[in-house]
Amino acid sequence: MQESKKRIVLIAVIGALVIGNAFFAFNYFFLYLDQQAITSEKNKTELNGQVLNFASMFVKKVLQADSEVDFETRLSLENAVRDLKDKEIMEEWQNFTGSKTEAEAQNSVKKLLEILISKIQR
Amino acid sequence: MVDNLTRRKALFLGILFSLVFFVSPALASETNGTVDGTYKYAWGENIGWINFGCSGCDVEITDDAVTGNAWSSQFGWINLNPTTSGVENDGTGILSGFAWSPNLGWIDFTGVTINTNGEFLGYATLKSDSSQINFNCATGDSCAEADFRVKTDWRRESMRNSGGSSGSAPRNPPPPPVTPPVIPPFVIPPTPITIVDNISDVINYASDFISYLFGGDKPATDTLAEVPKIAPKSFGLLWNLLPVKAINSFVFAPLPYDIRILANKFPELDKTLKSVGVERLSDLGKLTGVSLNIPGLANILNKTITTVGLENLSEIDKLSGVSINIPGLSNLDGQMMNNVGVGKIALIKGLPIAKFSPSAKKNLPAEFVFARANQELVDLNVALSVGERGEVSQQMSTLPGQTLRLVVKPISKASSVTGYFVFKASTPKVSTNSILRSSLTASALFSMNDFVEQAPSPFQGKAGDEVENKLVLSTFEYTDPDNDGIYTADVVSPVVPGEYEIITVINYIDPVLGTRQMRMTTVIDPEGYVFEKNNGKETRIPSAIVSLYHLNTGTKKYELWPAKDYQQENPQVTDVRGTYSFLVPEGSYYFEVEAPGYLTYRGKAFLVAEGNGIHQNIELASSTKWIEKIDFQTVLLIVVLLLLMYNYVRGRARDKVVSP
Repeated sequence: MQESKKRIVLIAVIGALVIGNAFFAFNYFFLYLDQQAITSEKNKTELNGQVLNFASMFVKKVLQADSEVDFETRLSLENAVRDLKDKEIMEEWQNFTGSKTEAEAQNSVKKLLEILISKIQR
Repeated sequence: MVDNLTRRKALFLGILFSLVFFVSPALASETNGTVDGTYKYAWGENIGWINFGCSGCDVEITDDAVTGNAWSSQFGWINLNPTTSGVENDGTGILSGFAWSPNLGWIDFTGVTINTNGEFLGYATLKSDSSQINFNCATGDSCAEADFRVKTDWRRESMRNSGGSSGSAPRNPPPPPVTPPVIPPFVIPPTPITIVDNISDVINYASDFISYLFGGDKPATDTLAEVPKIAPKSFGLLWNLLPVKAINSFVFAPLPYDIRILANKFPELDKTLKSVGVERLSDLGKLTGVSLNIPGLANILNKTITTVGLENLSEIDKLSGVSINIPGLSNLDGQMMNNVGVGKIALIKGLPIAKFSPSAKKNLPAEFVFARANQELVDLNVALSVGERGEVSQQMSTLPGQTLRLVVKPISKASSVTGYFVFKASTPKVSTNSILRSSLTASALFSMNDFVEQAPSPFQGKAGDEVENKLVLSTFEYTDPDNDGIYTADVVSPVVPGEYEIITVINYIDPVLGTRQMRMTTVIDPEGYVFEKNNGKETRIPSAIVSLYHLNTGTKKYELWPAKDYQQENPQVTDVRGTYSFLVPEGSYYFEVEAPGYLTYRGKAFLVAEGNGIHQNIELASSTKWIEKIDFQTVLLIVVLLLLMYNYVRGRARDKVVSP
């Protein structure tokens, strides 16, 4: 009788533990999914922020410049464009910085702005 | 036997430890050394980082020489063993000789040494500008700012177990290059490394290690940002970075012809456009998605009256109550309007076009189609909207089956004025809140592009300009029976809701004027209906009584809207489809709906702008809806609870009986 009670208690405890494990596993799984979604959203937001920052800096410091763009600004722009880690933007940026003629520079600016706008994810 | 085994084990472990701790330094004493995978950067004060351990560099350090190439991201390859010279090693780690870069010229390695740990020390010198390349941060005491060095596994002979000196005497330096050296750019010093960086480095290494253990790829190290000291041409403000010609031609382009013509015809519209800063083509984007209401006939009449001047109306009080027929100042029965008096002018509503004064008729904008409904009692609101592509269209909305009076004034004598009712699309764009041209909100909205929702282009899918290409539903003729130069036509709006177009063609007698076309998109809004929701589906409610109340501006109270004045009924009883419809003038309204078995609905007050159909869909709640919410699960739950309670009460009662 005593043995039987012990067994029942044991089964109950194990059962509770199994159910608890299952519960926490499910909880963990759904939290993990949530976290993945939040991380993805965060990454997207961060990238958008970086693209917008660079675009804003480019417009303010380069397109609206009233004198030669100084070294510090160029360095900030270079760092900002590298932080984006986007090959397409980088290539167009390099095309712009390496422009040999006015037409080339204008073309690069147009393309760069277009790429930047298209990179902003909704 | 056991002792023997233990001894053997100890011997094996001893050999193993010896291999681990002593063989490694022996391996580092190779005569042919390579550059360390981590410590591979040297720092040129004018040329930035130089990588001696890149893929393709193939730098090899022997007792005689240093061979291979180094890579500068700004200036390209540096050849360490060019044909006429080369970096030499005297076998004890003292380097000399010259490396060659097509962009930097000769680089003198005299002064660079390799210490007993295989670390490069000292400076190499660029012959072109005498700037230096530092091989070890320790040399310049700059390790606190950036930890860099070039390290090899080559060791001098004395540090190796065997072998002898095999260094060769340095050759004479080559003559300086004929071509002038390129001005080396200035590169920013490396950023100081903080404790946080160190911690993040540790974390990075740990994650690299873990990914290595699990077969992951080691992430590529970031290249360093290098910026030339001399600004490239594109940063030099030498050029216009944006094509000026294209921008000028866009920014200074005038407004589209259609808008300019309308602005000329309607001074209010012109004023609105100017006040919100819409003066050029580039400003047109501010109007995208916004509807500008064009003044109706009543507004034009009111404007004509107000221009008479208040002083001329000072004696008008004496006429109050006198039966007199003054267009614009008296109502349809010929009585003076109550709200006309000194200092106040009534807004004239519902005056038939035939009763307009000659000056009002003269002020009527030409070549513009006005629409009125309910025997000219309601001016239909015509809105001007700009599509996504900048197309301008006039648009009005009305209810199905309404008799519309269309009014148009040609600019000269016309031989005929013909109208076409043309089908455009079956899905009507339900007219939402349009913004009055006089509204202050409009100004604020127009000035903010992002706040304006873009409306789909009304011209999308347009087959062409020819009327013949369209699906013509009916043709009608405008007539001018009283020869006042104003043509009118009565048409019945289609029964089927959808998007239509009224095309008015004026054939002028004057051959110079020829034939002119006016287009107006007409949206037939579906009628409103009364319904209830059952399991997410709508069920129409017939025989519901729909009452419309309007705000009486005189008493400032809501009253039942006098529908009979507008040839309609109020309240209305919904038909089998649960539909109702009101076509009302501008004002503030609310609905009250009653139906047997349903709770009385009283809606919120809403504004109607300048003659619109009301087509709200009204949901009624059943008066016995709470019963419907009880499903079998709820019933089961209640039963179980009751049983539990019963059991509890029985138990307590039994305990009382059993206990003494």
